[in-house]
Amino acid sequence: MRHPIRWIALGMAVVVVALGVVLALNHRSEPSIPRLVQEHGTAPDFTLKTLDGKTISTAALKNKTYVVNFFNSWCIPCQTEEPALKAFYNEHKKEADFAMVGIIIDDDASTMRNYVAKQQIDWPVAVDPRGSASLSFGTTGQPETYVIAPDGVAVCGTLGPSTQQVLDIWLQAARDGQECTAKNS
Amino acid sequence: MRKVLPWLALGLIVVIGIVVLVARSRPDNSPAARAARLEHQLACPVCEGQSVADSNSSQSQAIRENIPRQIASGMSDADIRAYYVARYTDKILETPSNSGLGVVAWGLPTVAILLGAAGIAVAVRRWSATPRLPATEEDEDVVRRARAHDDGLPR
Amino acid sequence: MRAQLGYGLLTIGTVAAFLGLVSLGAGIATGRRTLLDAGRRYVFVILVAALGAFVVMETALFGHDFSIKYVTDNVAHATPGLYTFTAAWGALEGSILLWALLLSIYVAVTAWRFRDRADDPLVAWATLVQYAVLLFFFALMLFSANPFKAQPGAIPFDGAGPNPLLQNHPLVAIHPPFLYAGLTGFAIPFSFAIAALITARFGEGWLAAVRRTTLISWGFLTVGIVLGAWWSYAVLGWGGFWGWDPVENASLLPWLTATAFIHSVMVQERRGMLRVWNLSLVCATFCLTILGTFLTRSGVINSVHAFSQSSIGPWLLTFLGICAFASIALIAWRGDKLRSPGRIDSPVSREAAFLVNNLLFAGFALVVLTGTVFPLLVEALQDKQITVGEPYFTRLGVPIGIALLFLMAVGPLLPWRAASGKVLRDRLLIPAWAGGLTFVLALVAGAHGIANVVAFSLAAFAFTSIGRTVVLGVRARKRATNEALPLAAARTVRTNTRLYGGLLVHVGVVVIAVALATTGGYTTHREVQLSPGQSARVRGYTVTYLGRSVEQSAQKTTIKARVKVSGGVGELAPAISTYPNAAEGIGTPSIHTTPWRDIYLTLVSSPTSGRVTIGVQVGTMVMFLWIGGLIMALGCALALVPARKRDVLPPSTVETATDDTAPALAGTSS
Repeated sequence: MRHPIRWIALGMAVVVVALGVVLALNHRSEPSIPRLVQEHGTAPDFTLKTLDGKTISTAALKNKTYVVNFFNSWCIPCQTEEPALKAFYNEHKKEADFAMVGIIIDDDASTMRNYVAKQQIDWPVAVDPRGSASLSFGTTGQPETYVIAPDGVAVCGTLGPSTQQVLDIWLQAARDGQECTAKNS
Repeated sequence: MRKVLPWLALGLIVVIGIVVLVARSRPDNSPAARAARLEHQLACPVCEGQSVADSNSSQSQAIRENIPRQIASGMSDADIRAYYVARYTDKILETPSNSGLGVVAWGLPTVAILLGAAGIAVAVRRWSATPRLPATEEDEDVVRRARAHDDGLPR
Repeated sequence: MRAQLGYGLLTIGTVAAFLGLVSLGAGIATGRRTLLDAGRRYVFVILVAALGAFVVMETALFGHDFSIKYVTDNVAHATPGLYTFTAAWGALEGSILLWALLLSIYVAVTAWRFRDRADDPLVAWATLVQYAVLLFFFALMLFSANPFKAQPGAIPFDGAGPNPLLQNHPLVAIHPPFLYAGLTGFAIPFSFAIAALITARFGEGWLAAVRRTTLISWGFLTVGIVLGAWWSYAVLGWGGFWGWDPVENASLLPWLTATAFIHSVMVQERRGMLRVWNLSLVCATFCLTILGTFLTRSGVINSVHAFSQSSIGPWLLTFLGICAFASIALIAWRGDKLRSPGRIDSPVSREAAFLVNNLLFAGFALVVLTGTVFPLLVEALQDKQITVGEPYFTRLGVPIGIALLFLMAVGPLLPWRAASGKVLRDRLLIPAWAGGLTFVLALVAGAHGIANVVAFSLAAFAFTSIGRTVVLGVRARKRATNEALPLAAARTVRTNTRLYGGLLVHVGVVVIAVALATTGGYTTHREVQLSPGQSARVRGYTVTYLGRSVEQSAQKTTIKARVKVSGGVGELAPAISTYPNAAEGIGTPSIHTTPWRDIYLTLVSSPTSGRVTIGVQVGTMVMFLWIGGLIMALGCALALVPARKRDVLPPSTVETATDDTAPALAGTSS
């Protein structure tokens, strides 16, 4: 082959261009929707003890539209969304087909008891000592919120803090069997 | 023969040693070894670049506690990996898959090195094969005459 | 005031780089010596400007000048002095400033070294390329990553302080500077390679010009990488020392190509071969340093090392593209005329060994590059995220490492040009037996793991082969001169520092290879949950939790778990520190190090309710990683010492030896 080096150089140039395109187009986007919600998967079952010693399980939540919120006492966005969650709960707690469960992630029971008492959180807060609930949901941080329709499918949710307005929209969508449109910014 | 004997003896020792080594290195399939292997094959889902074995995050700890239970319940290594992939997508696996685009990751460097080795082998063979020009009688004459006259040039 | 002064100095540097570029360009075009001389002098203006800007930054940091955004983001009143100093390179803009400063030092020293050759087009073009690189980095600071940007809004009373990981350990004072001193230096050989291509000076002139700088940069980079591994182990607390993190890989890539170059350059010096390959290696090394800079700073890859996202990415990518394309275009243009008619005479020769060495290093660089870039490729093509972690690099890298270990053992024994079977057999016999006996010993001692045992055997092979070379060299000199042994040894080394420095570096590499095998194969890791007073047993050591203690300072709050370890280890105290401006705590391991064993304790969970989870790791021969690194640095330093030719013995005074002629006598490197 004549001028082999020219051909090799041409090949290298092509490789460099390809690499440059890959590097240029790449952008790390943080997902905001949990994977379980993206795939409309069935919410996993769980049976956990709450901070008061009672048991809460998904068997009791069948045919209800319920909200699962993974949180703890030290994460800043969890503290930010606390008032929104309280307002949302107060708005809907009288409804028969509504339920809300908080699940502790990465925190210990005694600290959480103090926190729950101080924040006057009335919905059941479950302890997940082995992390089995968070593993089966596939959580990657906190706070994470899931809205589960009566048929057990996780239809809406978010990674990060939510607002009362958005939670209302999601609850309605889950009840009506609609797609989730509202997104948290 | 005497010169080659030490080499033969060495070769024999090495061969025996290799047999022993291979026999001893059969993969350990005890639950503890399997758990350790799996922990190194899974990436921590919330950290930057640590495996489940190395990370101290609560998620990794939960997975480390969960894996022995999954092994005890009879799940195979592949089942356990699939369980976590279903929940955390492919990025929980520490290596690219053996199919699809993953073949490029494994294949590209391997093929490149093998090609390079082949290229070197071919080039060296070609260079060794081309015979060096043998000295002719005339060349020898020239050299003899030059040596006979001492021009003060270094020999 | 300070901000303006700093920015003004950066502007002066940029303008000087531009003027230098222009006047050198004009000087080369017209051949006027005055232009060339003047063009050279701007280098010192740039050096003063960079130094001045750095000093201004440090005074701003120590003076807590919160009118500058960088200062607000990186120091607080409570920050101790050392970490205030190191904050200068702790974040993106400051790191570019340090990079520019180190580059200016290299360029200034090079300009001074070549002051008598200022009218040589090779030197002139090289300096021009150096100006172009400097211009880029200064312009980067002026327009995209300004370290002296003003703090928007009201001036705060206190700053945020450094990232907790950067005020945790004094190593932050030396790891980045050493790393940058290594990476920036490769611009010099690059500039000479480009100059050689442009001026069509294909002889070995450019090689000789840059040999020392390449070796110095390589030395700094080696130390920087080893220090990074030490930091990962001693500070980050995950128990390992290399995570195949994209940023770690980014520093390893140019090291691999530079090492390949250091070897193949010897083939070019001796036989005039591999000219195009060497030029390509030098250009690739420089481009890889820019790629590394891009990966670290563009936000493309998430990593514990990554600086925050900024607009600097497109700049770096464009510059990388320009450098890569310029190199490729020049090599394509000149390359085919460069090829020398040299040939390798025999597959069993040192040239062939160097060829294989280069293949393996380049191959390993390709492995690291593929593994680092592959997740980005998959994300671009299939929009899904994957991970490429340690198992990938180990599975592909260990065979390459084993092959390199073998080459290190055999290479120094191979003669140049061709080896006869007899010569090889004689030279290899003792080292090969050393390897074989070690193999048997390792098996008898119960070693497991094929790669580990092979590594031990090849290490013994390599040690013996290197030792043989040294012993024969000293012995031959001693016989010829009758000097006392220490004097003969010292003089032997002094007459060929390049050879013996290189052998010492190889010793260091072999030590590291052994340490990699022992730490990889023989480390035990367990987590134990203990109440105060409770004990657990891990691999022969009894670990007792004594209790916790809390320390508070203005900088941080530290919770320590006091743990007593049996076997003469004493009391260790792994800790978790929380800093006021960070959400999560930073763990600090507590390590008891002896050459044979490392006891490594980490605090996995914060001891609030009495029970504590402690990670216990028992490692074997970890210290030899750092010892090996030190030996490599010493070898590099030795290789840089100029050889003392006047001690060289004239060949005629030496009795002609057999095929085992020690290579050190004639002073030419073997």
